[in-house]
Amino acid sequence: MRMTAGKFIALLFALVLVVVIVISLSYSPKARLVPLIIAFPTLALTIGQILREFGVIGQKKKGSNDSKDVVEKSETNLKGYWTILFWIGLLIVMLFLIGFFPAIALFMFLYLKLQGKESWSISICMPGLTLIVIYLAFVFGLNIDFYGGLILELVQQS
Amino acid sequence: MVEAIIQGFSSVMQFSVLPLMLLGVILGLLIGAIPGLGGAFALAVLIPFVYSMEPAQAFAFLLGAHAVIYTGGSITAILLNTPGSGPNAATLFDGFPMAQQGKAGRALGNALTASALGGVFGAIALALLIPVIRPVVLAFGPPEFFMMAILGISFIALMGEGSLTKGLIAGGLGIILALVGYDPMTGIVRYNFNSLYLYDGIKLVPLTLGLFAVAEMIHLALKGGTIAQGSVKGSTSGVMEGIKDVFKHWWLVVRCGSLGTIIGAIPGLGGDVACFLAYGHARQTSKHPEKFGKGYPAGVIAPESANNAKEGGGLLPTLGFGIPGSSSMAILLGAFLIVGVKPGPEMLNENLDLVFTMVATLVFANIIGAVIGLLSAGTLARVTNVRSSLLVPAVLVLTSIGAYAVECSMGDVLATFVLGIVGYIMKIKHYPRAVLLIGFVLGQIAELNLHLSMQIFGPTFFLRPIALILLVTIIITLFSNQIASFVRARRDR
Repeated sequence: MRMTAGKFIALLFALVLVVVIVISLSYSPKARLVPLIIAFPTLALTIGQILREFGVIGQKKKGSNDSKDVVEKSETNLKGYWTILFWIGLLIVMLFLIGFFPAIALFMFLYLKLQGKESWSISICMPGLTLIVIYLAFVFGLNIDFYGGLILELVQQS
Repeated sequence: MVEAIIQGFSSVMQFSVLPLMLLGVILGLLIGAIPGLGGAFALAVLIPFVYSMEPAQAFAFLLGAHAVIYTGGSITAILLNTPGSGPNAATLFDGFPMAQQGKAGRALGNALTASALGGVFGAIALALLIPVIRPVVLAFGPPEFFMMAILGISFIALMGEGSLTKGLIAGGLGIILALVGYDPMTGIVRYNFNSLYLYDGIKLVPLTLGLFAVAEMIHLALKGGTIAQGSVKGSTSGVMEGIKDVFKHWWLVVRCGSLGTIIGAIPGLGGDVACFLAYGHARQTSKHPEKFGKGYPAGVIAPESANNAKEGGGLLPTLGFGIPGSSSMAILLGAFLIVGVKPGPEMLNENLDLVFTMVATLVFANIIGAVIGLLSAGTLARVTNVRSSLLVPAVLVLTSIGAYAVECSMGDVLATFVLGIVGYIMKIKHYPRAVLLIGFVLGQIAELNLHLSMQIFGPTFFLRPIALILLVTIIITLFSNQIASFVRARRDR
């Protein structure tokens, strides 16, 4: 049986709700009142949805919205999905390691050149312009101190 | 009174005040358009500049910026499916589908005109209601707040797109997410899994940016091409059509403006509630509720009218008796002290001209903000025709900046992207993300006020007159479809 996005998200929601219910039972009656009032019916609905996703109850209509949806096709396009997840992951890792400004410049350049197949001029000018705008708006205008990254912290410590 | 009105309006037109208001409006539009920042952020960063200003200058500058925050936020909501701030989230439901259909210009015309009219409506309401507001605001206690929150949640049932089950699951999860972190009623930290970040709970900005901005960029990156599925009507004709739509729906603007003003005036309820209630109200009272969520102008006009109108409402308790209606108004209260003005009943006697300077600022700032937005709407609409390879990295970077800038927390950046992935799966499997957001916004308000109501008034708290009226409204809201079918069946018989 293939694990589709629909089954995955329904199972994920059910897991979250079960965890919420189990943890709630350790709280005082006052603290668990509203969480339990909400979690139990939501879990019941989610279990119904899981049964529907696995085909135990109800039948998906042929030609329904789901099958028509253009995006649904991308479910089979796993490569594309993993590619965009890779880029998001790369941005997060770079932000944490080298800080905002180098990460933004590097990420935008790499994305534009490698993923977007843009020209050299666009791949260099766009990150440059973005950095100038961000610097003027956030650092100069709003006085925000951006995170410098773990590497800079380690260098400063040593 | 008349003298104070004339003095208030003329002081805004002075050479020493008008340029500051214009500067405030431009800064407000820019800050509003940056995803994640909002009205409170704008006031917080601009307040250091008012130390050396006269009161009229200071309030023209600050209120000028604050009045148009949601006007700016509607632009990114419509073009990029990324709300500039929380209260712009309801504009996504129909604004972005309109942009996808190549009607970005029309949607911008809808949003900017509705914002301006709503803002002017709120300002006029502020001027008229100042003398009578005190007893009304004092009549609202925890039971009424609880009922208002439940009324907002009850719209969940109406807003589910397609599957009601998926809508209710999303709403329930939204409420659960709102309960993460420190519980002020019991002092217990719930569901934080020993994480310091979760101690303060999940924040609205990362949730909104993740569910909408990141999810939309993942979708766009996979789809390729541009946001607009057809050619974009970036011409002025689309914008003019949008402006005409608003005047055709003038009664909706008045109703949602009133709703926004009232909600803005109730301390603690929060502006986010206003836009969702206005959207729900518009859908519920429309002859074509099935068109909502698919790019229907009324779905843009309703929340945008309420958004800007609530600023006038928010000033009512702030000026009337020094109780801020929202976090932005709390910051504004700080500005009062900086320039040496004490809000409250005394202000209404001694500084009435200053009150009307604020009313005039709201009126002019909303009109100027909308004109600037409308003049650039044709150009802005072309953003939806920018290819995904350029837009995706730019928006992802802007989103990370927006998530970080609010509290300078890297945890917020991480949370934004994680929620973005969840948001994308919700999008492709038709779980309404907007309903999750409504549950999140109202969950905490409902829980807190339920406990307070039980403590103060006991289990019969809902029998208080206003609470009872709200309860009846909730029941009518939930069973509106059944009531309508019953009435139709009776008529056919």
